Amino acid sequence: MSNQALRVSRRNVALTRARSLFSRLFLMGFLLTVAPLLSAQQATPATQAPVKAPAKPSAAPGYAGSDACKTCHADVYNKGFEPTPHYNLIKEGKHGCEDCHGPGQAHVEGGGDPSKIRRFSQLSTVEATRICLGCHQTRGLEQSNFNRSAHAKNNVGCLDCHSPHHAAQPEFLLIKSSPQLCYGCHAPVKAEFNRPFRHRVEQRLIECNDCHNPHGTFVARQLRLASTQQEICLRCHTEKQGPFVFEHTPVKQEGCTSCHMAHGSNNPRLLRVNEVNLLCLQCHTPTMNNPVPGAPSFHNQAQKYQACTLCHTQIHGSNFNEFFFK
Amino acid sequence: MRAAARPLPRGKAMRTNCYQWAGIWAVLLLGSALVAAQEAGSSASGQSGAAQSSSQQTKQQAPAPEGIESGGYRIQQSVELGYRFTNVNGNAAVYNTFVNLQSGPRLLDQTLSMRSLTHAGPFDDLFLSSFGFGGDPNDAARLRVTKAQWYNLTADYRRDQNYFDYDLLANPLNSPTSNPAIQVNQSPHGYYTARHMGDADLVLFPLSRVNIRLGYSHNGVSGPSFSSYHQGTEASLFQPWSTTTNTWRLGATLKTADRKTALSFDQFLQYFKNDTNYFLAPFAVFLLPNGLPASLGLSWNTAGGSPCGTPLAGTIANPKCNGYLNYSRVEKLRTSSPTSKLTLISRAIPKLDFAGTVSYAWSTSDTPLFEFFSGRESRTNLRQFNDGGSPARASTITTTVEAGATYNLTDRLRLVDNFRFNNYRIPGNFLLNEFDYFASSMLLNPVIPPLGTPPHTSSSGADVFNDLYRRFLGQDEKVNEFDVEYDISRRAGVTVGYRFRRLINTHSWTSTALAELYLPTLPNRGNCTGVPLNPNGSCTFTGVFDSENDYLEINQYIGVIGLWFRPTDQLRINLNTDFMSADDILTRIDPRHQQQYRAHIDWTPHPWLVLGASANLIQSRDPVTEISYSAHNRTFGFTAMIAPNERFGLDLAYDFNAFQQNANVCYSGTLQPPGTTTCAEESDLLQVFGFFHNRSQYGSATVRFKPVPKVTANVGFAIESNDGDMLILNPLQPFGSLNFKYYQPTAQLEVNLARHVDGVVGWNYYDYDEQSLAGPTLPRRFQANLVSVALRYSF
Repeated sequence: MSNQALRVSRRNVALTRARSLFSRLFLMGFLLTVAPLLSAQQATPATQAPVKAPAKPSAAPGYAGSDACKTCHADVYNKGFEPTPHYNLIKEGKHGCEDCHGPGQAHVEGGGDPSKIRRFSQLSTVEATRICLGCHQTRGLEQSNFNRSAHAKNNVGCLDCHSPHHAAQPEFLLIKSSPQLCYGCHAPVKAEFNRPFRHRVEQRLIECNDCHNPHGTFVARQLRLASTQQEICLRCHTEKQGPFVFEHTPVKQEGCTSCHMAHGSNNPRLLRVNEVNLLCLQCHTPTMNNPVPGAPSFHNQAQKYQACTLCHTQIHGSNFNEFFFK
Repeated sequence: MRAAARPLPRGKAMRTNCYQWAGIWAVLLLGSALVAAQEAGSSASGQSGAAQSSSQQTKQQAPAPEGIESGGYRIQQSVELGYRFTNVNGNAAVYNTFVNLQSGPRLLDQTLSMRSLTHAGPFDDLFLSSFGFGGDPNDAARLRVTKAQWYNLTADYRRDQNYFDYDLLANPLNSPTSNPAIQVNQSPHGYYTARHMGDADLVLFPLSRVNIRLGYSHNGVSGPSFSSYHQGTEASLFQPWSTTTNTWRLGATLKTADRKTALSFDQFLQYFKNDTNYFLAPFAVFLLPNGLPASLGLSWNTAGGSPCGTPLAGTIANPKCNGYLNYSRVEKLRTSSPTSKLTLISRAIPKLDFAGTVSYAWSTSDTPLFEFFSGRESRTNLRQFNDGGSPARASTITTTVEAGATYNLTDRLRLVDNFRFNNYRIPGNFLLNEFDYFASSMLLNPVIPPLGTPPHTSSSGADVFNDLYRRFLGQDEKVNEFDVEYDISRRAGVTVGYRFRRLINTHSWTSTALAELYLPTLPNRGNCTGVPLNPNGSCTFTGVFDSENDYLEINQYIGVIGLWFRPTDQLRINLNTDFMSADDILTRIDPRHQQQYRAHIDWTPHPWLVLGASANLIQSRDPVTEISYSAHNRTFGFTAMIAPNERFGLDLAYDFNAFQQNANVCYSGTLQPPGTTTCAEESDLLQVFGFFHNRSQYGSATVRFKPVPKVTANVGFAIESNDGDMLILNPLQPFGSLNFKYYQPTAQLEVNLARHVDGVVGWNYYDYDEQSLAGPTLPRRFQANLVSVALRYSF
């Protein structure tokens, strides 16, 4: 046995025995730095690391085992299961195929009787989603609110975006890449991202998923929050986050979308209204029982004063001036 | 194991593996080097724009490569390198603002996917993608590596070169009848900055009962930009932008043995630095009689007194005019924002699933103000002022509680409740320490007592400000939505719900003069009007000069109805509607009544034909006569994807959007549109119906065909047509981007040159044409031809 193979063998022994957090962390560093080189060496069969033998879940009553599934469904198994994260079910000593499709012994003994196995094409969206969430709901924080999401309410389930066996995008097992996947239902958004002033989603700089969590959040439009628990816009536009001594109150109390259109706009700076003075005046008009100050009488709109932000430059908030001049 | 099952001749296998692995790691190293080079060279990138991949331009994605199996992995890789030729006619600044694709060599696209077949290697999956490196305005690299039971690592780097110079933004629209007439041909608020964003997140033992999360994000924006400042007239300021945000994340999750309950704790720390400073960017510079250069500012309307009635005598600046000799403002803002978050997820109770979070965030920002002005404000005779470090400090304390529960009464009937509580308060204070100096001309040095008597006017401010500004803004928001969801059958379902939202907004402020000193002449001015003089003839004012306390409670009542139908597996129909009624409003463009209707239909009559249609209508209004707010946002869309075979495909999309936002406005102005009356609440203002209407049509068509096996062609066309109308209060104000047509035809030809190698030629054309008068600045039309030639290597 070569030295290299010996090292690989020792690594596997360590993998199986490591239990303490410290040793796991140490191993992580090793994996991330040295592992790619080791992996390259594994290309030849002589040095290939032995695969940990899976447990024998087929021994459980009613279960046939994934090997039995492979016998008939070799193509799905080889291309749509083995290279996917779900194959780890077998590595974890679980049932593999039958973790999702249910016990298959009757199906096997019935000569492949399709009525004796759980077929997702025959399930309702809710039923299929329930099976996915059986593992994924508590696996991470991302999917924990799916049952209360707008997608779930509209009968959009996991399999409308993901395909465990036939994913066009292997990352996250998606049926399409973003944003085309989202455009499939949210077609008008594509037009918004093609407007002259827009966020660079079509350019792939940012993704729908950066601002929205398709699996649901507690905020309207399934929006995420910035780490400071403020609007997600402030994750990138941190200079507008404040806190400011002189806050422009609607920015904080109503949010960015009271003046801006987030996806795209025909107006500069993604404003809701083409000229900023009209947008300002629609709020800054003296009104009974409304403390918002009106525009002063010396602001002749037929002169330079139509460009409100020429002077009120720090319109999102200022630390030094109540009129947002500096 | 798999490699053994499908053996290649050993020598060939080794050579193939060697070349393939060398290629893969060369791409990894090249990508890393490009990222590093890009980071290093970012500050030098200046205003030059860049380009995007040819595949982005033509909106076509290259087909996924077939891949190989090697080293226990299924590997797919694609690298597209090429050169883009760009030719722009017309307004290059607007082209750069909208498109900003420039000539040069580029890494147009790169993807690498490695998926383990044995799940025995150091990682199960590795995905790496990048594009745009070499000078494009947007470039990114994304990496995701996972080993299911051990770790999940994601990292990305993104760069956005922001070129913004749409000349109508913040443009004073100087009058052509001014003497002299000076145009502002660039936006006074141009931005030529680059944003660098990087994220790295590592989850350790993601499948274990205990997992640990580590994360870091960086967001840095730097580069030249411009702003403006008002002191008598409006100066153009150079604003070298420099902000940095670093965020660290640390978290852990503990799951019960049955994995049905998970408790997570996350700690975030965000640290924000803003070192953006401001300096005079001379605009309209003329020499004073003493030979000193003075900037007379951006606004030129001599009839209206900007910068003054007679700014020039020949080519010499009037020293009594409003103007700037010097200006600088230096800040050093630092904000730290720690946030703690506790999350509980559980489905331990039969039929019930629950998720909830509690978070507490506390941001604190500090900055001093160093400001210096030299010039003249003719109204007050202000000649100079300086702040030597006035401190400002503000905090945000935010508490958020979110909880959601779904109870499955039966397999078909669910009760869903969502609750959100968000409370923040923002106390802040600013201590102003400012010394003002006065003179009656820019030729004269500022008068410094006791060497002279400052020539004040009745409008002059204090000579010395020592003022404390205290501000408080708070909001308490509670939202609860309760829904009943019922699946009538596998083919239909209904949701009926009720959402209640209560907002309590508080806003209070106190402005206190700790000591404002008003020197002669005219010491009884400003806040010192009527205040007894000091023995030396000056006046000192102390006390509160401005305070208010606002409290507003708003209750919103929202009914929610949703229906979904799937008559067949090929047809999906969704209908949703919300009805909102509120008992008060915060701003005048908030609705007291709002209805939203959404409909969506997806139909796939054949596997090769997918049709979609959607409508989204939002109606908002506030019937209070004084406000008369009404708004709508109506969108109708249609899509079709036709792909009868691998040799032909057609994508069609059409979208119509009608947007309007109207409300009565009060204003001051010399232009009085029809219907103008006296403002109901303030008689020295005028009132008119402030309307804004915008209609947008967007259509796109892309044809994809493969005439022979080795050739693929894409031809596409996109057009956006936009028109509208709005209240114009300045006769020089153009509609600008409210009325335009934007054509974007594209074409792409891919030819398979050799095994794994494709040649790609792309063409894009941009034609942006505004349909209204240009206004007193440069017209904004442009046309651009872009041709890219690339080689794609993929396997």
